[in-house]
Amino acid sequence: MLELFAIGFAEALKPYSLLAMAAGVTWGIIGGALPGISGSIAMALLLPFTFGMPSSAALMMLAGVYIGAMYGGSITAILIRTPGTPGAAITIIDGYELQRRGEGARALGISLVTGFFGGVASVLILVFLAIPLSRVALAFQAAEYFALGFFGLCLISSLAGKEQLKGLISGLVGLMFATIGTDPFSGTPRFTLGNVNLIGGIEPIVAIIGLFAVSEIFQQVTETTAWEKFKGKARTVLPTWSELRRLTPAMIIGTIVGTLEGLLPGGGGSVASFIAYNETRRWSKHPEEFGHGSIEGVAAPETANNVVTGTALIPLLTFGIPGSNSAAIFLGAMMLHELLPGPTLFEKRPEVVYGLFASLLISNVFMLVIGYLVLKPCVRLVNVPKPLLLSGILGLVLVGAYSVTSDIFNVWLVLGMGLLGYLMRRYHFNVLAAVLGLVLGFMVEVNFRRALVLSGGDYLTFVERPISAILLFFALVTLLLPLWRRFRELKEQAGEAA
Amino acid sequence: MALVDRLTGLLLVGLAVAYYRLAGEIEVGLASDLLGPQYFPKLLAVALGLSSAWLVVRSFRPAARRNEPVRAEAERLANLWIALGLTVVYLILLPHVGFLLLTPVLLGAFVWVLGYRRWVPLVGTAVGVSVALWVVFAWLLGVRLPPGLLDA
Repeated sequence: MLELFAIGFAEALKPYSLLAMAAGVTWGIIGGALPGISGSIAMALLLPFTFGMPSSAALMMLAGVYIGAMYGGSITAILIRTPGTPGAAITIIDGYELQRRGEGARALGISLVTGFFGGVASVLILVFLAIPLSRVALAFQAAEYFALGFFGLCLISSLAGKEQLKGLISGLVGLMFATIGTDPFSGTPRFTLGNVNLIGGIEPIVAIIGLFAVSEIFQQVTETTAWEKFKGKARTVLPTWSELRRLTPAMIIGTIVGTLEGLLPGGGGSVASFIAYNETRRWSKHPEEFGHGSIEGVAAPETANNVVTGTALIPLLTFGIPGSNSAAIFLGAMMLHELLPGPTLFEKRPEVVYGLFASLLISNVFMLVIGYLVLKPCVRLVNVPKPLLLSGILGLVLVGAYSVTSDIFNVWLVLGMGLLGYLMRRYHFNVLAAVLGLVLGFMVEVNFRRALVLSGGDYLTFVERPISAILLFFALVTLLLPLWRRFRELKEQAGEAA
Repeated sequence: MALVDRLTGLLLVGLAVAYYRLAGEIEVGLASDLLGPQYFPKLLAVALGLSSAWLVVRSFRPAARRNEPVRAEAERLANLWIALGLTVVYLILLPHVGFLLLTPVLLGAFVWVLGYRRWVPLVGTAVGVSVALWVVFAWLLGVRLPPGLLDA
């Protein structure tokens, strides 16, 4: 066990890896601070750069972006009352109140330090949970992998959006995108419409950049309101020991909530920080301060959203099921480097898995240092007029999509996906479910067919194998629960009317 | 939202039917598994057809009208279509004109459309971003961006 960690640290401490992490964290903080660029969009924008990199460094860089963005988001939340990322939305309440009182520097320091503690805690939780869980996955065969993928899709489609039916439709459309290309069993092309560019299928990273990043550009150009400019001096004042002691309960609550939300699909940083804020207020000795510049009100959400950065990787690395936008992008990057998440990855590519664990620790240290240093340039960038910033992002996504196969076809695709993503968000469809369908579609179909080959065509194999049966049962419950709730509502209404 | 749902639902039902028919045309080779390449797509088409049909049915229920979203912010949808149109024209011309000449024009026009009128930052950003992208992608990452007219 120890030698695996040694391999990991050796990989993460290579100069190239350290450079990748530092670049990732810096871009994460800057991107996170810019309103409109969330952690996942910052990651998506960086995907084209990870192509030529060694796989372990590529993943380390993306993890660095994720970590950095969680702090970056709080910069704009505290200074100009605009959340840089959805995860920082709740930080506005007390963070901006502190800023108005002239204590913005203190709020930034608390966000930075509690985020660091949350990040380090999450690495430990990740290591303790992921390694044993990956052994559970060793017992998995085709039937179990199918059931797991199906369950994951059901969960995201049902829980992550506003409307379950539209979530299901989104997931199905994503699965359909995944069927485009060469059939893995027979080798015949499917749904390519005679287009040679589609024989290899839709590149997940093109879909990800389109659905997440380009759709956001489209969203931003239709919004006429400009965000506020920050005038004045931005500084960071680190919290004192006694302050940290006072914040300990908030950080513990943030860690627990962040762990649970990271493990559950569909939550992610924004839900975690919201719940952590409310729970901390409930248990606090000074609940009356919340909303009036409570430092606990900054610490709790900022711990929680940094905890999610590590724990969201648990279901992804062990079972290959991403539970959030960022984890889905992570999976996209892994596919790009032909890394298959799951127990075999832990055994065959320890330098990737344990290197990632080590890099998460190092990136959190980087966040602490770079977050302190990069504040002023960040504020300057936030003050750049929105049209100029958007044009930079537009240029980046166009070139990024082109660079995937050095072909203009993918640029058309990224544009189409961007429009699709925009329309989906506008009409309450579930973009994450579509992305998940696309990245998991291959795994779901292949394992479905392989399971039937192994069983000699017997469909009962899915319910005779216990783990598969349990997973499919849960999938069914996830699908039917909202219907049942609706049925009860109708019954109650009928009861009241009678 | 009810009307949008109805139209989207109908569109998706159409998509499901078209997808099902395309699935039926997939060649089934000899060297395949039991289910073959048509089975899974057909399953998806049926599932999509049913759930989209339900979306259409649901849009007729009186409750559907209750959840009309209120759009508080003024939005400029025209900006979206212009930005999209500019990019489409850009992509058509790109192979002929080339990246370095055309990208500043696209980005400049894009910034102008969004209502920004200060010329020095506008031109500076359009040219600066294009050159920076060229340096990073073509030069450092070795991507062959379309040279167009600059192809010597």
